[in-house]
Amino acid sequence: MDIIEKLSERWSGIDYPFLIHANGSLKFDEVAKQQHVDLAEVKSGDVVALIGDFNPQSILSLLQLIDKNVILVPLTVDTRAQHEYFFESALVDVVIEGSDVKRIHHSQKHVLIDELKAKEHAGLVLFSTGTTGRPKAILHDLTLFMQRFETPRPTLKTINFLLFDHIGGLNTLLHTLFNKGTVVAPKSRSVEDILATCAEHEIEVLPTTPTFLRMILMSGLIPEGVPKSLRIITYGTERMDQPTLDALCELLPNVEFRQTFGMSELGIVRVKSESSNSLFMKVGGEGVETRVVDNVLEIRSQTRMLGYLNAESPFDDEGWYNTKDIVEERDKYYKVTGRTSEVINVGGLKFMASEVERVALQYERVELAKAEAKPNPITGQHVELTVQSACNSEVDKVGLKMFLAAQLPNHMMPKRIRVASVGVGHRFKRI
Amino acid sequence: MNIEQAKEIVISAINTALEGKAEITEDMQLIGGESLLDSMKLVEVCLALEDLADEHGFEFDWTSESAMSKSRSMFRSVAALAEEFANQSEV
Repeated sequence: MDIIEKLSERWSGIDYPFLIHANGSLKFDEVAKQQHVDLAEVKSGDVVALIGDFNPQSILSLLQLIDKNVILVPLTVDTRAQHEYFFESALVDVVIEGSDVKRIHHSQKHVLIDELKAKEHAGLVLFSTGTTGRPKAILHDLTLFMQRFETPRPTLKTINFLLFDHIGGLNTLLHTLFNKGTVVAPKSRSVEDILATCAEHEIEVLPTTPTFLRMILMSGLIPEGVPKSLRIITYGTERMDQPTLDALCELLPNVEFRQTFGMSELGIVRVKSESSNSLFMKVGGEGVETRVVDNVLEIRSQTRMLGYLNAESPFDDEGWYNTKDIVEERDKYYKVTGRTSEVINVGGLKFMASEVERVALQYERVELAKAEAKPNPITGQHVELTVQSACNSEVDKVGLKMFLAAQLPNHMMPKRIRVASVGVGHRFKRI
Repeated sequence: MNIEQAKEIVISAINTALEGKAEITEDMQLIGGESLLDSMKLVEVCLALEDLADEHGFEFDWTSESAMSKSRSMFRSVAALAEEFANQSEV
């Protein structure tokens, strides 16, 4: 596989940029002329953590690493507090940040990584929340994933609002590169900047989350702030509410609203909304089957992950994956109405309550901790934490807050901390 | 509670969320524009207002379905949020 060469051929003679970012734009032929990060140290089959974002240097390193058949672990600085855990769980051999290449020595092995190495295939590791415990390291066969880009498909001018360490964000970038499109990386993720970017670059597709759409509604900047070029707004990664969708459809009748649905475990799944103002969607695509068992959606997909590197396989013997999404079914269209597990979703970023509790319990004199999701109309949910102090002692709330802020990404930070008896709440509930 | 008291409370809640790093005016937008608050900070402000309402003997509702339908106008500016806060104190 020589992606850079293949893409150079496709982009030969094309004068427009494939990437427009805050500090300028980048044409594909400029990529090769970029200052290459020295990857001489990196070998085929190495597990490589690339800490970056949608900037030229990270993109170039990403493509070079795929060419080198490494097992890629894309990470962002936002999750820095968890990086050590990620390196350990994914058995990372090399860490690249900017032009800094550092090798980590360890003697760990994993059968799934060895299988990929034997096939000389590239791999991709993404982290996701699981049903219990800490984030799970999801391993995909990147060589198979890349095959989807062999067939040319049309592209629309898109903003990449998704993250560098998410399967959707990477899919958008690669789709744009392989199909000679243009992707625009906004200056910031604020409503104002995103709308200004849409207008300036005549964006056609805006991928978002329900939280962002709720913010856009509250901002009062629509419909005036939405340019005519914008044809499609997609939303996913967290549950959308009908009042928000209705208000959006009313204000923006010429924009098509499409729901997306993805699980890093399953690869990219095709979804079709019943209509712009409907939360019902059809889940399918080539090699994807669905069924509903006890109101819960199960999916079997040929593009699924190889497995977790730090947990048991979540697939049953026949390959079905339990999405833990409770759905309502109507003529083969599904509407997600809830979750069966305790996943907290803050503005589309998911994590387990236990992750927050685990950190809180490390603080001095904290004996018990309970993190809970509370609903709100801005970010969908936020975390509230109750801690119980050890006998005859007091917990320093300010100190605990600072301790948590140093350990947790912003979205996982409890927005309210209470010092109380954790047990009482439970017993009270049971009574 | 009158609107002036409500403005004072809302501004103090925003000041705390921003750790006093900026001057808050009553026409400052809460979302978009020159807003210095991101979505997470705005949640913090609303939770602080819940606590402050409690101290003043009323409940500040910003999470129920009926509050949600008002959220488009109530988060428009500091003054709009203060007005909603004052209104809820009178119920």
